[in-house]
Amino acid sequence: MDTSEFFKHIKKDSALPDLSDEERVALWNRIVSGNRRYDRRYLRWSLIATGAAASICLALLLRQSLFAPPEQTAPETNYVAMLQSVPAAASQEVRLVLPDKQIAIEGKDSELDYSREGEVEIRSDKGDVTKAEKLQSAEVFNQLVVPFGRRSSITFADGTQMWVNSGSRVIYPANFGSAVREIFVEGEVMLDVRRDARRPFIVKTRGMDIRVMGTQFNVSAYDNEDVARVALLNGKVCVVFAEGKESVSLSPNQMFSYDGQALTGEVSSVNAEDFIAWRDGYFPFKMQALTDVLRKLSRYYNVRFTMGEGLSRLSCSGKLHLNDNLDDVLGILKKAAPIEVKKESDTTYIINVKP
Amino acid sequence: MSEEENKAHWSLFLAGNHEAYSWLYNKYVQVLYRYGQHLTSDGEMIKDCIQEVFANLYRSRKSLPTPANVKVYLIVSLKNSLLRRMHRESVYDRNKDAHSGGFLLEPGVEERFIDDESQRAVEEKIVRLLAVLTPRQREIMYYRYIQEMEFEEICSVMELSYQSAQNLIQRSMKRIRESFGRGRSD
Repeated sequence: MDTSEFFKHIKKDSALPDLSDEERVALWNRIVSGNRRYDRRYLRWSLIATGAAASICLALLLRQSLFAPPEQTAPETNYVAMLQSVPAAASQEVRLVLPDKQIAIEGKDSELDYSREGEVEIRSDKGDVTKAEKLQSAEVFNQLVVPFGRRSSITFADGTQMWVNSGSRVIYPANFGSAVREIFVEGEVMLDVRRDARRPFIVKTRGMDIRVMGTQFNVSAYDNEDVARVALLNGKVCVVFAEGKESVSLSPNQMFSYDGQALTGEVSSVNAEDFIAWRDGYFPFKMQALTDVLRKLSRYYNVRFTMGEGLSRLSCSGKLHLNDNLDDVLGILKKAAPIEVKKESDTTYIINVKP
Repeated sequence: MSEEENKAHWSLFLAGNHEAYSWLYNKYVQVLYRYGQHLTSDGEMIKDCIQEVFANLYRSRKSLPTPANVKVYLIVSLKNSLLRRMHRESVYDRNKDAHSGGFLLEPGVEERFIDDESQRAVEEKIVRLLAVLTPRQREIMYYRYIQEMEFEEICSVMELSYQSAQNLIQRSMKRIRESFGRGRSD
């Protein structure tokens, strides 16, 4: 044995015991909850120092403006709390929720256009409703609430376009910071992200984070559906899931389906065009369960279907144009599948398999 | 797993990205835990100190620079945290020595030694050689030959000048060679 061999006989670090998975996760949770305690303590002190009494809502805003440099997104923005702070009101209109007020937008379809100066222009298909709303600084979040039966689209100041489908909510800053562009989505959106290598675009949902540089893709993450989906048209996206522990990259015409309960997902090949057709006013179906089709229609037209037994065994293929009224759409569906449609009221239908 | 990727996550973390923070944790927690075992056999203390390292990162993220090497930076942080803790405990508890054994290294079992007898002989020899080295010498040998760190990195972990680090390595190698010599004449 000589000196060089000496080191071969010393226990390598790889031979030393590791933390078990449970220990590793427990330690991480300790770190994160310790940080949260620290943030709260820090926040309380500054509130006392400025002599301000604030509601939780204001406190959240303060936290962002005091502790994050203005051009950066605050860590761990609590989007779910923001969602809950805006109740699903009885209003059937699209609403833009600003920190100090809400704007109701009439019409079935609407467009919001943000300028670099933080102004938003709102156009609706119901006449020439054009408003220019002066906005606050970049740290302020806007929330767009699109009820069932309505749709909307947003053009952000960086040129990124987003189409928001029925029954969805989106939270985003009035102006993106210089480090990241981050938005939160519940429901379904299609995004055409303007490429910006220095500012990654991150779409957060309750279960996934989707990181992109510049690309077109569709996200469907409704809270009342078990499976969330990301379908990619072009470019590249990386989806982080399972509480940040796992990730997957998608290529064009791939779809990632994620089960937020089981924390598992899978990638499949699809025709991604099918997933964005709603933007252009039609739904293509390929051997899809009739119950799925009806669920989509119910969201789109904001009606309730009472579905009879056996419907889930039926499937259909074809294209439904959504600019038609619902009775016409159901008439087409009746030709494609052996079903009976009974209209109970303007908003409730009973669908059964033909005996 | 390039250093570029580490730095990209580091700057995302500094910008407030929680996933980048968790990525750094998951990538380095086992490296740090194993490293800690060279300084103490108290696993709970290592875990506490790893928590301290990551908590400090979080608290000072507004003012942190991006280090030249993320792993080395984390190792230095953990080492400082562990030494502080061990020192504190030795003050309050006289039965505990501050950093008693110094830097710990153990003989490793290589698969090719099937023969128990010769394996034990090798292990005994390694233990004897390790005992000849001072804790500082064991530590620098570990960084240089097991972690394969650059000299600059060793200097920052051990708070040595370049020249002192060179000298320490030379003296350690000499010590080992001499002990081999004695071993042969036995």
